Amino acid sequence: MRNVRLIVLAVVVVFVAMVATDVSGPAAQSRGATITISQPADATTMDPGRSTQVLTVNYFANVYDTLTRWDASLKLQPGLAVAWKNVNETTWEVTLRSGVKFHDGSPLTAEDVKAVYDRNLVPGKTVVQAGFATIEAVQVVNPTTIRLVTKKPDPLIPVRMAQMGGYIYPGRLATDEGVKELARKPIGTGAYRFVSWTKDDQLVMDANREWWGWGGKAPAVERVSWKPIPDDFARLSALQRGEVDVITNVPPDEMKIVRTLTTPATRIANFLMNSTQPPLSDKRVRQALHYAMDVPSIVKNLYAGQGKPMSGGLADSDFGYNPDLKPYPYDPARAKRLLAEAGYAGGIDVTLYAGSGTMVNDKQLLEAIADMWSQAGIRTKITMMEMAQRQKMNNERAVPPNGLMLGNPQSTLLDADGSLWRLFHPNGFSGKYWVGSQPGHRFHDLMEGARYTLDQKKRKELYTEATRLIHEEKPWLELFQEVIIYGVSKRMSFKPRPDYRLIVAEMTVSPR
Amino acid sequence: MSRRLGWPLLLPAALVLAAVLAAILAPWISPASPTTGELGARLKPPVWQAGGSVQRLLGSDLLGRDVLSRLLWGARISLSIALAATILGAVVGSTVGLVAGYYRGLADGALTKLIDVQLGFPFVLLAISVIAVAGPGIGVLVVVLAVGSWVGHARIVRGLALSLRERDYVHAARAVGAGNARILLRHLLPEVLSVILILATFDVGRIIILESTLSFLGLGVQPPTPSWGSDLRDAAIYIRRAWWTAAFPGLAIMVVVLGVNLLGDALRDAFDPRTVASRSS
Amino acid sequence: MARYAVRKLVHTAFVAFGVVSLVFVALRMSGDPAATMLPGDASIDELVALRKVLGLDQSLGVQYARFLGDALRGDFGTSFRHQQPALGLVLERLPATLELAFAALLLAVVVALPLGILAALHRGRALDVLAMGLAVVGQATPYFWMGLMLILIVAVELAWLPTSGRGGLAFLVLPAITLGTHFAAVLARLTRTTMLETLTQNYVTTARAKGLGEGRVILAHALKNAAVPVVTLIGLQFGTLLGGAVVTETIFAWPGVGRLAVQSIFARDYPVVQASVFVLALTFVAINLLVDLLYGVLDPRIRDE
Repeated sequence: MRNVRLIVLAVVVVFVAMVATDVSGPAAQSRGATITISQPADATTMDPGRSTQVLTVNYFANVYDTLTRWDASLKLQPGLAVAWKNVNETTWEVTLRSGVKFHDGSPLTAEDVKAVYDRNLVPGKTVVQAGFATIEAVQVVNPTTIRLVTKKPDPLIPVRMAQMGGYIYPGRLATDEGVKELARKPIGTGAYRFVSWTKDDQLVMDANREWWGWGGKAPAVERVSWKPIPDDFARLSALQRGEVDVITNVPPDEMKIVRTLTTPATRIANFLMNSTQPPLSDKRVRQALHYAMDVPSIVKNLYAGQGKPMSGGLADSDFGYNPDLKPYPYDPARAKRLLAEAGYAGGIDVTLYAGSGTMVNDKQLLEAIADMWSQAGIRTKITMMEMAQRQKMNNERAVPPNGLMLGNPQSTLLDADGSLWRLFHPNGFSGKYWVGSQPGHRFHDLMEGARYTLDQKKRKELYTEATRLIHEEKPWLELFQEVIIYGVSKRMSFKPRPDYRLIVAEMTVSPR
Repeated sequence: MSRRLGWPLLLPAALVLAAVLAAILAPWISPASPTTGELGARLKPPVWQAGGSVQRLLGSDLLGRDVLSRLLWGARISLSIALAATILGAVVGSTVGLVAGYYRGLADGALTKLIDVQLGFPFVLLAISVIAVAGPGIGVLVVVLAVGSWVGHARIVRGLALSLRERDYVHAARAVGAGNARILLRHLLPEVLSVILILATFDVGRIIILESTLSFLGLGVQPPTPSWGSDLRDAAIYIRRAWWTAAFPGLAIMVVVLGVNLLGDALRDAFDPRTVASRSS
Repeated sequence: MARYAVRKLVHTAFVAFGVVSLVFVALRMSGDPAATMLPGDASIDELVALRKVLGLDQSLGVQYARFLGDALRGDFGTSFRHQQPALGLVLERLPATLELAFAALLLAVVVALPLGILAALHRGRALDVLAMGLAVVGQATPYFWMGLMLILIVAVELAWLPTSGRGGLAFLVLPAITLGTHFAAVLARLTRTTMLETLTQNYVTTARAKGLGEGRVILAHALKNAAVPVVTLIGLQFGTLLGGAVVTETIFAWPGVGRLAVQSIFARDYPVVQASVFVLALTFVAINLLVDLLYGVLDPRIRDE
């Protein structure tokens, strides 16, 4: 009996010791306002070259700066660069802002920029190389000037400097050993400096008063704490209880119970289609798929009206967007007619694929579409996959013929080249699935032409024709432009950005 | 073996039977299709609440599908998966346990190590890894769930075999020249059968819960096939606005698992409280 | 005793490596981490280059040999996603998981033992039926369901406790209840059964005949007998508990190993999955070792077996 008592005592002591050493982090110990932001996942790394996921990039966007940047209205502004111009067709000269310091006090120079960009150019070192692939070399002219030399004329260099992956950190950390340190303890030039990180629990940033971008005003938010909460319900509950200030990924059905801020986004919801074989190789069949879908009903019922039906392959935020293209109406009779014309009066068989977690209500979206299509004789099989398998299928370009894969591609450059062509390029995700992407076809020629000409007016013309082609040929199943929904506490206010970035420097907090 | 039939046995048996019947008869008694939904009639309440209708006795889910129909069809899927996995696990586990416990030696050594290795691996991670390799699907799900349960059978049956092999009648049978296989089948198996049955009964409940956990992680039954586990998961976020979408699948799971566990208890009491009570449930 | 311990340790190491090797093979058959990490416009060259950097371009045999060699020195490689040493990432999170598991077990024991004893004492009457009813319901509730309900009712509607996260006793309560319920249910039923046996034992009736107070009899003898099955159950159920931790950690945003392991499997982050499985397997075996040792302390008869 004495033994049992001893054991019980030991157990209690151990337990108390465990709980007592439980520390949640520095939390609320600052002078000014502290806010808490909750996304579904923690940042995987703080090395800006090693992640392109929206959730993680949000962390980068506050700690680091890029050479140019998009403001909340998506207009391109100076960042760490104050001026840029073409010296010749393949060379851009970029003037850096002077007097900028990293969080550790060291000054920003052209050498740092060169080191970061050089790392981005090497395949395998980062995951962002594709966005910088047009750059041949980076030259330092003097401590505040660099030159970017491109392989062919590239009209997109100004926006390339703003894209993710272009975040600048001290050049000395651009080595294999250095980035390991950077991944844990980021040092940037951004509005917020890194304080501490308990993985999967909390990452804390404090305002960087020496930031060049405050415009003379004091920071409204002194401290921001990033607390990831994976479960939708738990995250929503945390907002309701006032434990967090901003949450992302609010289920549309729950919008009424919390305060929300919304804005049309730069992403579109679509399905890429393998149309290399019949029946999907026939344009009429692809059009029929669209007429058989009631997209407004899907948006209204599954997404609480948060979505903008579209056609032409682009979100309205991208350069090249053609507002004259109207989305197809819901017309099942016409769909059946088109199928019959194409020789498929008996119906067709297709398969819808999606990775679990691609977007909100993804599973229900596929089920709703399959249901609608079955009314028009389009027999649909659904295959939900794990994200890793979906990535594999995409990366190996292995969607089977007559298969459709759900996607909501990012627009990396806010330009048709960074969204539409990035995907339809023969090397891109959709490149192998549609004959129109191949050299010698009109669409291919239009997009390649626009990629390499510096004349913006000419590019607009080319894209106008290209989007019209997409509208008629429908090589993608086009649904709607997404709307971002943020849940916010009463004291928060900011203009929600269409590019999914949460920039704390743009937020204001009303006093409690 | 003493058998005591009475309420403790009949009541849970009736519950389980009702569920099984519902599952079998689903195609005939289901009022609507479980996969066709009216987007305009989403999240409508059950018939006894304002806004309900007789066409949707238990209300409609987030895609406008009839909850009752999905419940009935879901019974088919959830119960058949659980049954198949249980049987598979029981057969494999008992065979392994009998062989290991009776033959001992190298076979026993290897099999015990295998069991320990698997026990050292949290089942959920094992399930995710297997499904990651083989892709989701009902067949894979059954195998994965069976993998989770065979170990319990193996260990207990092995223990039983170890003690039974020393019994007098086994020695006698060997002395007479009976082969090992004959001894296993004719003498040992009947003895352990009741234990296997009781273990299997408890397994059914465990497996139904495991299926819903796997569905929570997105690895369970794939759409649009209804299953209680995945319906429960999808409905969790609607618990405030549309309690019926989550309550009924949840209730169904609880009632069946309850019934099955009580049945297991009653069977155990009926067969032989002493030998089995010392093993954990 | 020493020989016994050594044998057990060898067994432990064997099991741990067996598990990890299994995982090693399974992972490499299941997908391509380079594909998961790169965006859609990555060219084939980039994929090849990334695979080389991650060490995935060599044959399975070579990879396994390197892995074993490194692992024996305590190096499980660098996480693909986090660029940190994999073992370090796992060990960072182990205390959180252990704390949760421990709290769940403690809570379960504190609730289930009295419940089981009371049920046995009042066998067949209202209290017994109620207690066992609760137990069976507890066993029939999926972990994630219990967690979500607790958040809804206790954290949101009643606002008694925080909804999620880690940070002190208040944050521990709901996750511990969620994780411990199944175990508590099984324990309660087992305790009841054991108590029922004990109550009919000779020495109890003898003690009663001698006129000792009923309360003392029960406490002294019954509890002592309950100790062994409780400890056994912990050993048996720990694996299930770790499995339940995966779901519980996800719902309550608890920064533990289970959550890391699941994320890493989905992301095909091989080094972290291998390290997590290894650590979890070791933990499991260590717990079993502890259980065996406790047997020896609690009941000398068992030690001699």
